[in-house]
Amino acid sequence: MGPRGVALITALSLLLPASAGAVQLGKPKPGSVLAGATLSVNETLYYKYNLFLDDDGDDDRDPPFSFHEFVNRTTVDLQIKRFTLGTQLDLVAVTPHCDRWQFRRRYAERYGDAAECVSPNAVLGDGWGAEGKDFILVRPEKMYLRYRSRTVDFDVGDYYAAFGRGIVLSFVKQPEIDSDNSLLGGRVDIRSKPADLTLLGGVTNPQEISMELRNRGIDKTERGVIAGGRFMLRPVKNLSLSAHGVGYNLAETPSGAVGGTAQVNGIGGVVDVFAEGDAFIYGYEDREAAIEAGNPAAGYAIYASGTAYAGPMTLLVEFKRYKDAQRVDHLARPGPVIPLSYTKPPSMEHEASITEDINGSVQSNDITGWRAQAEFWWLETDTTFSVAFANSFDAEPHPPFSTEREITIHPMLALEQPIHTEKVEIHLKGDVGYRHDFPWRLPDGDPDAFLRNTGMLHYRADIGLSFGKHAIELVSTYRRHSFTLEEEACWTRNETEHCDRDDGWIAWENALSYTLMGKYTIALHVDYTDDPIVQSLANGGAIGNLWYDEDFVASAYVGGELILKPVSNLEIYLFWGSQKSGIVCTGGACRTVPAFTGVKGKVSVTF
Amino acid sequence: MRPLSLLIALLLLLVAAPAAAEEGAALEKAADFTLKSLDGENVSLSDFLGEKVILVNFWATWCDPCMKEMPKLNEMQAELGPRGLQVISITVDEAKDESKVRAITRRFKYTPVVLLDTETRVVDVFNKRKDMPWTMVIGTDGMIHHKKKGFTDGDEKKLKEWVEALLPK
Repeated sequence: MGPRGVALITALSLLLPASAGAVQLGKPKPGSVLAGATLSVNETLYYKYNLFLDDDGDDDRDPPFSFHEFVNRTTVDLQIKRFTLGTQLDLVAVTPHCDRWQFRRRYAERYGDAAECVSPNAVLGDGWGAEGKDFILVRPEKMYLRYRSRTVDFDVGDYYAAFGRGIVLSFVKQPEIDSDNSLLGGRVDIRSKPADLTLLGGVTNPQEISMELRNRGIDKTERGVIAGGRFMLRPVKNLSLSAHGVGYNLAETPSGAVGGTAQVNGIGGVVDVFAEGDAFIYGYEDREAAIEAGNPAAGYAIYASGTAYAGPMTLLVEFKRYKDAQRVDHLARPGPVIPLSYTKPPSMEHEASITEDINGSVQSNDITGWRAQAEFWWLETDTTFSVAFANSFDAEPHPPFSTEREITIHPMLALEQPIHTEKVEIHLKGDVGYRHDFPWRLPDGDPDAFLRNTGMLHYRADIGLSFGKHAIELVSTYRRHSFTLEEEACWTRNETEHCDRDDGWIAWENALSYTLMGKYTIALHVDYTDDPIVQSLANGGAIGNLWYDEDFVASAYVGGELILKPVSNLEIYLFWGSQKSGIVCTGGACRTVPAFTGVKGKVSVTF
Repeated sequence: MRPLSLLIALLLLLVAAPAAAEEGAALEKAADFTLKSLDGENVSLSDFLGEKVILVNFWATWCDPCMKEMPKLNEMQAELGPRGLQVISITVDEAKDESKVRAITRRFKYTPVVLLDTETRVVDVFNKRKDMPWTMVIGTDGMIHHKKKGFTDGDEKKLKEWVEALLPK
């Protein structure tokens, strides 16, 4: 199939929902099945032109072939009284590819007739057999029938679920990070004033086609089986108790978890307290051999938090103790594009955006930690000041990041100040923090082995200005990672030799945006990093930035954006340039963007 | 017709269709839902439907524009609540971040109803792309009169206009 075929398929997929673009299907009329029914269709077409520039014009090496990628997502919901029937259909198509003789000829001209043709972006990975083509994939990702009432909900098909604080189960939709893990099966919720009951079961159903990320080498999903239940009780006002249990049949033999939560609100009128405890039992095909090899037979998790508020101050204190509590995710089958996780325990990091250096805070199998955050808000001046401190002890080494145990400290300060004048609104917000990981030698560790300290300094500044129909915003984020070297490293700059025992990298992201009437936004992004991992691996697809060298010393990324929302059910998005992966907020909304160089445009319509 | 021309024509059709649809479209009926409040109580949309003008706002602790919008919604609830407005703030934070939700609502001394959609079961009905913040205004007729995504300073005036137009004079 060539560009025409891809265009035609895309066009047809657009045409279908367009012709069905109705909202209210029938006037309320007794006896009619469709009386008052609502059909909602959301159509998103994403076109991307992935460009690879020549990173070194002096060598004989050509850049990879550029390619076009089309992604189409159609969601349809038909709501009839308390029932909703819905589906999500995804399509991805790329061109050029090796099924086209024109591309095979181009490939042969560059690499010789004997070279086996390789498509610039093969869509399919493992497990598809002969059923698929490497340049197109169509998937009915989600299908569901839902019933909602005040006392009973039931779901058949795809649904989402999370128990407690997500330590034993967390299947949720997160389009902001391009992740949509659901369970395909059945769920029922029964509610009354003093008690609720939830029962569920099904197979794991991760979204296979990605809207934002590059659809490359998508493996066919292998599904695991999950079943569970939760009982919640409110014996008295302000007290909630729950018990839950989950069985997992993932990659190996069944595993299970049981646990409970307690929530007390308004103690003395000023304190809320929450606690959760969970126990895990793990199954292995060869249990004895697995345990002998160091795999745990069981695990546990304890999490507690308290919130107190007095006058202008709010105090949040959290505690966690996780011991082999996330083995379920280790047993998970691999996901299509985004790694799957079936549980998401509280990490106690300050912000989602600064968890790059996650060793010891999120996925550790043996960690104890606490975090305290005090926030002060003065109504008279509308000023918010926050001070936070996180501390953890990670008893599990995470090579290559850490080969020993670690103690982490992470203080942070934040200030937010809106300024209101008659014609202009100014919004100032900033935070600064520093995280340090101190190594602590293992009891049986080599006493002469080098112990590496790691640190991360970070700040964020957000300046917003609005007057009349105009709004201007500048957001700047900076992170400086550093770590000690075992030996002194020397280099020459400006003909002067420098030597140091420190190394690291920085990541600096800046976005300037202008929004008119809240509908039309133009933005400029300028990012810089000398992180070798981002440049060489995680940023695959963005090779050939504004400033780049083949030794991965440093890259600057410059990109322009246009976001048009002329009416509430239409959004048009255009991007040109390069972007580093990360969270981007422009035009009053935030999203996660992948690494990219080229041109892309998106149209999203709701009928 | 060349495929590229066909594609462009269809894109133009797509762009034009919603604008035309918005002008003459019938209003959409708000689907009922039930979620837990911060106090652990079950709260349904239908608890307020027909009696109040309801402003439903989806937000998250990681969303900066949401933090700017919340004090404005708090003010709107205080000013227009006595005239029949009910603001319902639905957080889509994951279960692991529920403690942060409590801290933020306490910090703002937030008076609207706060509901927890930690399982993303309700946001998936109204706001499938999970744009943050995202707001809809429901009239006493139970129909969704306005939808809005994002928040920039000054947007609260438009929200207030929408709500006041639906409140009893």
